[in-house]
Amino acid sequence: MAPIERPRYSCMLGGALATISALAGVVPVIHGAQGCGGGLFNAYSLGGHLGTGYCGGTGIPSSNIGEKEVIFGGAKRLETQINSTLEVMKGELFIVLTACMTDIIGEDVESVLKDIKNKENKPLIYIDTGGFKGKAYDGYDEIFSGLFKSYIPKREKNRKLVNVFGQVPGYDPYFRGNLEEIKRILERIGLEVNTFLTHDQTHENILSAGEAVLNIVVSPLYGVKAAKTAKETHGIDYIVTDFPIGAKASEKFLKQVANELNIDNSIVEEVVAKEKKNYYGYIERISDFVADTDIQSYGVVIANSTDAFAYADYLENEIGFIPKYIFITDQLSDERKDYLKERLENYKYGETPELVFEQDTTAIRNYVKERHSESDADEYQERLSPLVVLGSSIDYKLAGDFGGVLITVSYPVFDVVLNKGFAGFRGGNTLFETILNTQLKKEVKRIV
Amino acid sequence: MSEVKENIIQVNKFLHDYVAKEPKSREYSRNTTNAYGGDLENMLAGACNGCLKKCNRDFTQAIYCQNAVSTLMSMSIRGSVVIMHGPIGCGSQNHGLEGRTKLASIHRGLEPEEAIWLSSNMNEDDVVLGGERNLKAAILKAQEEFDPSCIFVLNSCAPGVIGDDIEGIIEEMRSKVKATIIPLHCPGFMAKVFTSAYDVVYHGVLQNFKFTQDDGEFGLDKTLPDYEEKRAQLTEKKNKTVNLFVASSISAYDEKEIIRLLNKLGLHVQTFIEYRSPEELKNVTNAALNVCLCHVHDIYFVNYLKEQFGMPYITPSIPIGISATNKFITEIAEFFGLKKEAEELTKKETEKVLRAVEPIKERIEGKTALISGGYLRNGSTALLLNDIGVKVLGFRHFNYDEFGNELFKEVRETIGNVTNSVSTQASELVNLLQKIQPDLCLTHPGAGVWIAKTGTPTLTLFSENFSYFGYRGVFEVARRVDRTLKNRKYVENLKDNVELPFTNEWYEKNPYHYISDFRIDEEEKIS
Repeated sequence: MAPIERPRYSCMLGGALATISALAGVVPVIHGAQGCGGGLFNAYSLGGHLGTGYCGGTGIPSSNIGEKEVIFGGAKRLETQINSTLEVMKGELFIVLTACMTDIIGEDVESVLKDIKNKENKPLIYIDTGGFKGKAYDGYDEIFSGLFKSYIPKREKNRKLVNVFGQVPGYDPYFRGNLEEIKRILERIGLEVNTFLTHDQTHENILSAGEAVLNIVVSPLYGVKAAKTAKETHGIDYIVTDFPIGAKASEKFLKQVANELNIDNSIVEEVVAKEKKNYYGYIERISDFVADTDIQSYGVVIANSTDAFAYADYLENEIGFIPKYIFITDQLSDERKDYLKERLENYKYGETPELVFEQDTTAIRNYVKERHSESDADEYQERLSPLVVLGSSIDYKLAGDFGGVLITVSYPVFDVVLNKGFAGFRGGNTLFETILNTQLKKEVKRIV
Repeated sequence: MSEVKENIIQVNKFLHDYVAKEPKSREYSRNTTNAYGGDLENMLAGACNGCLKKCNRDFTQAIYCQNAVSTLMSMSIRGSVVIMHGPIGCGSQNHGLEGRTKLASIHRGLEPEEAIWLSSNMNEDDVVLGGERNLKAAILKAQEEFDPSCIFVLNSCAPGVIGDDIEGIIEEMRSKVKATIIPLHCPGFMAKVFTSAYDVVYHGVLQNFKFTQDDGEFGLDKTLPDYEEKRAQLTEKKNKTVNLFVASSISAYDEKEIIRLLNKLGLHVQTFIEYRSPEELKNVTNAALNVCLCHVHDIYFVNYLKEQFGMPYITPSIPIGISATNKFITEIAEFFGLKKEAEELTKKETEKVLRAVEPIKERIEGKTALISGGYLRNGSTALLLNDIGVKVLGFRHFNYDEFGNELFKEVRETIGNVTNSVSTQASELVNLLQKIQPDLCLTHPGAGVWIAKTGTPTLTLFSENFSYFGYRGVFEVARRVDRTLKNRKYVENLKDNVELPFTNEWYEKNPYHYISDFRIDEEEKIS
């Protein structure tokens, strides 16, 4: 594949580790070099200082194979490591993950697992996550697919239970706040919700995943593989929705889910009306400020394929900004690019923003600069200003080029992120608050 | 300059072959160990006998690798672009260097640079076919888009295992790009001792950069009318110039403190190699003496400069704490025949800082601490804590070798024979803390969260934002210890409300239970 400048995601193993770090009671065991776990932990932490959690970081059991194992095989080392992990680490499920090197040398992990003297019969499964086999988002899908295939029991269906997929820990830096809000609004229409990755969840949520009647994937691409697997293994239907940010998108989302589950329309209408009353209550009170200060801006969105359209839609249809460009920063096949192009047509725009598949930070900056060059020669010129960039912390130069502001919505995010989220009704208010505050703190460099 | 006096640590084993393709990892070149559990006395005895080379455990946890550590120095070279040659995950933590490098530059009055790095992005097909195509494309991209001063190519595990000939590929590309290309052989699996990275980077640096100006002197224009006069001035300056080798773990405050003291002796100071451009490295030979602020970091390079250019070097311990600072200054002063001046300076500074810390010391006297991180910094920090009345209960070193013996003999004399381990394992750390229960831990980043979860307050062992070195460091660390101990609520609340992932059986075991090549008596109590 072509080289990438500062990729905004890590590898298959990186996504798997990030996901497991947010799953209650799950302990990963890496079969790989010592640096895989250490480096990839530091990588997912850059999604808002996500941190070690229960058993991430330097707590991750890892076989730490070296030159000897690469030459002679690491099966023995893995066996010892698993046995000792079961002695030292407290967990309800142990997942052995492979790294690049163990996949290259062709380690037979399955046969090692058969030889483990697992006296207490602790659940122990293996998921192939060799780093070069995919990207972080794929690692997320591999973990949930693997759980459906090898771990989640087949139980009687609970007509009210749904699972939510499509938010990848770290690589969707606001995944916790987002999932909490999505859960909250789904509960309001009478559902029970497994998010798996938020702090309210226990291991029982993972075990109960097979009882769900619907898997809701809030990403056009990520989580879909897990949902397809669950359809095969547990007969759970799934829907792929847009990622909902703001009142309109949230209303659409709730109606889509309700429609799928035959929930009475009047229930949804009532919930939406109450949520909108609250949402617009805030908008009403901030409208003095908005109306008096001309906050409307041009927009550039730089994000992964889960979020990019949702942010642009929010700018256009929720707060009436002028989004000009959408940069999608994942590694995508031509087929997936075409699929996303089609999906963009479902959104309503006065003037549809330009969709660009580009992940190199410098190339993104140059792309915009080339199209909006400001020369000194002509003092009257059209400019890309005022500008709001919804991107990553490393996009600060682009925002600076146009005297704009940067809202860090996509990985890497160097700010601290706790329970902040941009999904749903509350998230829509939060995003507006964030944009306004960032604009307020902006140092005015050019007076017009 | 009076008689030349060099204070260099004497060791049994320090393999270095500066013309080899790549350096050997420190397990081989210095018998560095990353697994030990016992006390200071035994570790010193073992290290003296060269028996501390067993690096195995039956239970291991993830940690850094030499590939990741190699990014620190290479990214800090001004104008560099770093290529992570391998699959996309290797180096994905590099975004973290952006803020760090920027802050370090600003603190040093330099224009902040973006930390630019590329992944050669090897996928499944590339792992089968080899990464040559990827690497060539990455090198061209680096040159075309960034016009860098130099391009570091960091080899990772996958190309290391499949045997990509990165030297050959780079040789082929040299004529096609303007920037100097530096191959760094640092696949993670090739070294358990991740500080091997420092030798890897210096090896690449010393083989690919120039360390003299083109005329072998100061690069002056010989046709200038005042050439001879300028040359004489610069020669005089050179004879009173010290090169200080810094590290990305050393803050600008710390550099400034040491420079302040050396300036008071009438010495000039240049710092290397972090935050310098390849062009600036040409001035490295325009100094009379090389001094490592941390010889664990730099000895490979200063020894090269001695062998290649006849530049003397000294290896005092890291100048943290009063005694180490006094020694650091005195050893440099002795080299320049300024012993008397140094005596006056260190005496005056010592008295001043002792007066300043006295009231703080009264408040924290008798408090206890564990220190965790790189061994040289650990040892010196223990001496500092001793200066301010804090009792050090033990050490946890990332790794250890005989280069630390001189310092740790002093540590043993000063603070006694305490618990001492060589470990990066979170499990061992938490187990040990349960047993020794210090009031405070000073720790390398990465381990702090485990300490905090046990309810023990932490202070970071190094930081770009704080002062540690010299007399200023003694006062500032004392203030921070005092402040930290004043309110422990954060860690107490944390401890009360989060669960650690270790079994009850684990806490009943000796923390070093799983060190497989060095079993200490299971019954032995950790005191």
